[in-house]
Amino acid sequence: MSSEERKRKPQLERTQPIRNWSTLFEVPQATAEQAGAGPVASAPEDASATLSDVVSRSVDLGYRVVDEYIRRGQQAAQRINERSYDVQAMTSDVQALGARTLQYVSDFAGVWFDLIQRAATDSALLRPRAPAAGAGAAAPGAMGNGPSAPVRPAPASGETQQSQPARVKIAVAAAQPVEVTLDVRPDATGLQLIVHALRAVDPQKPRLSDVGFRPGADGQPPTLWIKVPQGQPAGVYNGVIVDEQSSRPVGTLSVCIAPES
Amino acid sequence: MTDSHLVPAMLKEYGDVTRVALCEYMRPREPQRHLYALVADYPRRGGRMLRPSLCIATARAFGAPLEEAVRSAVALELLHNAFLVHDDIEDDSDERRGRPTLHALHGVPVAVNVGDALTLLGLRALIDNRATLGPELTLRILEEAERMSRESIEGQAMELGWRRDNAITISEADYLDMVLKKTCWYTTIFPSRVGALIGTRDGGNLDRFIRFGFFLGAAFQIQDDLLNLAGDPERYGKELDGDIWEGKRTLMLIHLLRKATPDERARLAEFLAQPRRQHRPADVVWIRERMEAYGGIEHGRQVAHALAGAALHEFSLAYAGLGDSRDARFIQGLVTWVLERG
Repeated sequence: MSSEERKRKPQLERTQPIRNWSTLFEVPQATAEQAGAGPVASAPEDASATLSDVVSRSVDLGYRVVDEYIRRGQQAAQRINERSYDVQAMTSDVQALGARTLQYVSDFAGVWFDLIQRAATDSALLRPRAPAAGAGAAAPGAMGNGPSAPVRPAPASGETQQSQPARVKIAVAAAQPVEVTLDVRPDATGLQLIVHALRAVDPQKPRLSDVGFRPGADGQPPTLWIKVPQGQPAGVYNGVIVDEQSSRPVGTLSVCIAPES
Repeated sequence: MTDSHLVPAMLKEYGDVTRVALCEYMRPREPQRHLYALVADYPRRGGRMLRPSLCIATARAFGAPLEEAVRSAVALELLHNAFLVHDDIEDDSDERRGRPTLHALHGVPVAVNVGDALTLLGLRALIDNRATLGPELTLRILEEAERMSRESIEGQAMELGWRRDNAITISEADYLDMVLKKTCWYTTIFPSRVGALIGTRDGGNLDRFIRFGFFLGAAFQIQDDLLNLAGDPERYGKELDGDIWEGKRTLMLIHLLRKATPDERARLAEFLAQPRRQHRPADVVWIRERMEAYGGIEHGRQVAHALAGAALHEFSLAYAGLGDSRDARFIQGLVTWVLERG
């Protein structure tokens, strides 16, 4: 075999490996230009060589990026997570979480802060769930003009006597679909409750005044009755539930009236 | 059912479950006209439901019942839509899912407020996890959500900073770092980590989901950017070449900036320094043509495929030992689906 026939590795101009991340995908431009490659190489590069090169380099680069990221995260976590997650630490973490979240949510900051603060200070968060009666959602029996139905959230295992929600029956008379949201504090059980006329956000809408509590007999829960007059404008009507004796607010009532079909 | 049909079928199945649960957070209430009607706008425009489906499937693959993951799935969709509303404002985008963007329809102040409301509704859904998951796991997921939000905002800041400072010397490593934070965390890392937390109750080593989510999410993002350049306008839902119009630093643009001649790079730098409204269609066409000529689009495809290959490898580690299940096959199938979607 003559020396002309032998394949020889081309002499490289660089004298050390290229370790710059930005050049992982391809040969750096300066090196390419030095080697005589024109900058306007509109023809695709050698497909087989390039594909293999790009695949290995991009996967290699991907692992470097994500592993570096995980390493930084582990270092940060090591610093932060030295605290133990006992109940008190969880409470303070919820507060810290609330504070950090404030930075991300500007216009609703007040609302969210209240939410998190309540979660942090309310011992219910640290126990199995013990919601107030009908909290946050309409009771299944409270839709439309159906018969009265007791509002009783499903009991959670391990629920203590202290966290038992107040029980209330709801009776609604309405010609149009109605959704009732009732939120009564657990310690309101046994109190004489009253609710004043419900107001809509729009002051032009008439109040919903035919609403009140009827005490329950023989240990039965009180009944909240709501009568929606014919022609009452659609909308959301809100009111505060008050302990008659102390005039202390103990809950809220919200009635959403759908438009007449 | 073959794997090619499994992914669309399960995206629809879990997407429908999520949409039904989402209705609970989309109820009409006051103020309706300037807030809650608009809050429901983006979620009702549809979407692939990739994030909630990945969360539910991961939870189920690890043994949790579907209902334990639904509220987290709802939260993901709400937070995703919140990001979209704010992204559209920051990018000054004209279209979203085939319709004018929210701020184009109602103005920036109203749209910013709607985005904030969607964020809060997402957090509300996560807090509602207490009923099914208990307080400790709920708090753990909230912490994950806080981290996800922070990572996404940091990634967004990197990208916005590049545009504001007209950065033209960005490396692929910089790009992947930005994508890891901006896209991967909330698209793939957070859904799979939360699903694993729900399925295992403690998540085990969650770092493995960072690797899997990163490779899957990065392949997804690059493919998304490719579709922006060469997608089917009927199926894509956003304006074609919109990323060029916006001066977005995609892998293909970074490739072009590196390959271009000094004169071309100067022209590119001048274009990228201008606000979107001053860009001329002829310049956009020129940039698109240069990307093609230098092989940038093919390069993007190759990188996306390479990263997808790594995602398949990481899937086998992150979901190891679970055995064959419909959910596991769906998650694995997502890797090829992100590349094949039109």
